[in-house]
Amino acid sequence: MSNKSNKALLHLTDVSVTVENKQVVRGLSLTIKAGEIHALMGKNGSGKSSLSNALMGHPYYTISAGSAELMGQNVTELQADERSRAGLFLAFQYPQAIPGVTVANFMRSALIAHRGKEADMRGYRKELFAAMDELEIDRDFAGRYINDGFSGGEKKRLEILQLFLLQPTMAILDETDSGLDIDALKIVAAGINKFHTAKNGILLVTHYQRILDYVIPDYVHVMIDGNIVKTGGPEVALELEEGGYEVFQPAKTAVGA
Amino acid sequence: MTTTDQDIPGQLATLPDELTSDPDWLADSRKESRKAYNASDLPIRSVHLWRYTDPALFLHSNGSAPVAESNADIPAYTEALSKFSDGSLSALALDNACRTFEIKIAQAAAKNTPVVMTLRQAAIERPDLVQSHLGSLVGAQFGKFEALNMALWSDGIFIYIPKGAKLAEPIHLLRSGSSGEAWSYGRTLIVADEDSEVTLIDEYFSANAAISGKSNNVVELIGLSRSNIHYFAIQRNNLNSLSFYTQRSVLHDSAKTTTVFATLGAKQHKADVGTVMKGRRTESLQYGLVFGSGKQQFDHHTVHINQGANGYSNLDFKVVLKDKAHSAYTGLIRVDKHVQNCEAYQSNRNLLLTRGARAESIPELEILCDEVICTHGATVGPIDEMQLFYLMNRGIPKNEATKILVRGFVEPTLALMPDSLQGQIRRHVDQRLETL
Repeated sequence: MSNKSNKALLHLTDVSVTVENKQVVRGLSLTIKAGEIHALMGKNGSGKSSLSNALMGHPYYTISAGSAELMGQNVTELQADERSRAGLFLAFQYPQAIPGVTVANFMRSALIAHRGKEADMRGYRKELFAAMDELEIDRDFAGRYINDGFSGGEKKRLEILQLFLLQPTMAILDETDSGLDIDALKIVAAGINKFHTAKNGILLVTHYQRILDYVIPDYVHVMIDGNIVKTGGPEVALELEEGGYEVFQPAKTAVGA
Repeated sequence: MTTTDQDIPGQLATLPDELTSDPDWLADSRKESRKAYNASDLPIRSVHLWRYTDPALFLHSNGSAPVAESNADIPAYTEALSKFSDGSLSALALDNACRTFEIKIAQAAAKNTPVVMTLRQAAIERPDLVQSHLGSLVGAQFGKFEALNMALWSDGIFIYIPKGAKLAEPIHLLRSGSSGEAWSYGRTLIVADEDSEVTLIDEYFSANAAISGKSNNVVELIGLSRSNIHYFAIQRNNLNSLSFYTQRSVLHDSAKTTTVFATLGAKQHKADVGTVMKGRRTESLQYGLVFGSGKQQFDHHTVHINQGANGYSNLDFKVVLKDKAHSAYTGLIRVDKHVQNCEAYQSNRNLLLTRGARAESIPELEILCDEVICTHGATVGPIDEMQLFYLMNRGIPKNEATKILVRGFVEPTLALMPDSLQGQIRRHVDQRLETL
């Protein structure tokens, strides 16, 4: 899967990430093609979220070595907003609350930025409400301030709502399953499956195998100490579930994905 | 050699002839106030409340009388008149440099009809309502420049809301400052009688966008028992003007007030605003919204004085600054001795959009009793980096994302205002953000 296909949406080669001068991702390589779902699993502190944040242009995380290409374009040359408009999306592990800015206004601004024109307000409202209904988000949330006083589950659903509306080519979902009860997890998983087509790719970052019962990955990668130590099919997630990360621990040399 | 008042810069030698027609009690009060002004020293820069602003700026200068321009030429007046015509105001008072007035009161049942007239007329016709309240909160002893106002106010607005009256629509006071070298001194007295409710929009602007003006305005709000006053003061003078503004409310038993101060204009604006919670079970909510750019300088002082048991006060003062604008904020909460079971909260947040902008924040607590819940907090800083990142992550360019966050910062305060005012201030803020 690491062959340089034209259809590679995300192509990472020997990527290292530093945060506050500390290296947290060490020479990681990964290629995600259109139509693929990849699960990236690892313990807290293994570097999963650091990788996600660095790819999206988080101000505290730097891609210090290697290359990261989004559809053939070097992402490090792009600002966070340009990465988004280029088709990259990150669903946050801890979405920001922004008091004073309503969900509806925020999403409208985001769509205008993506589509490059003033969205037709009537059409937009319809689109927004349809997506909210799909994800079983109360329509009242459109008038509420972004993530302000939202429960954990509501925040995660709002992230998926944005995924629906923005239709990115490459979506990174950073622990979107954490903090969800089983009903919310099913709704979110159904949303992810509905979003997924042969044209887009998904990197599902998670601790647990649980969500993989509902969103079936093509590949599962195990990340330890800043690199991928094992790649396989869905069975890898089950191995993990059974034996824990200890099973994969001794592998000190990076296994290329 | 003897010196006379005339010789000393800033002294007020005599009162203008035009003020001599007032009733005796008022003429006497002006004379006393003149003396108080002349006798008091210029506040010392190192002391409380004058650290950030030069008091000499507000000394009286014997210029020619303020010029009132023709009302007919002023778009803001035309707009307000049409708002009145379509029934969305209970009353409208157009105040042109505290010189000429046009007052309109909507037809309503007598019990719901406010008294709105010029203050000098009210002093003659309704001394029963005016004499005991005028200067009771901001009188000659309040401070040097308040004494000056008390001596020289050329006129202003008087409003009385009758007992039990609940006004469905706001009363709008629209005041243009003077143009030119002379100071304009305005004074407003509002008395809300028992069980009444009123919304007041008090808007200050410059009729002439270019000429500098100087204004010293005092507003006193009297909330009698169980009254509820919503007061929205907007200062959007032009950027050459100088503004000195003092406001006090007093709340009697179970009275409530919500006050919002929006400071947008003036080259230099010094304001002292506050509520004296005199009765029991009073509630005072105070909000501030300041937007500064260029070299604007703001100096705000807010006060909550708890004198009665079971009071509740909350203050939320927000400041947005760009370019080289500067804001100083001091906020006092005082709880008097033997005042039990009161709650007092205070927050001041300052958003700095450029490196050159500066803000100071000094919360002050004087708690002289035991049973009280009191909190205060202040922040000064740039746009939240993480919020910015979140918006940019969804494709919104940095500049637009910044504007969204500024609008979001002010939005909860705007949401408290009457609709027409919200739109006006939103447009104003958007315009100021264009050059970000």
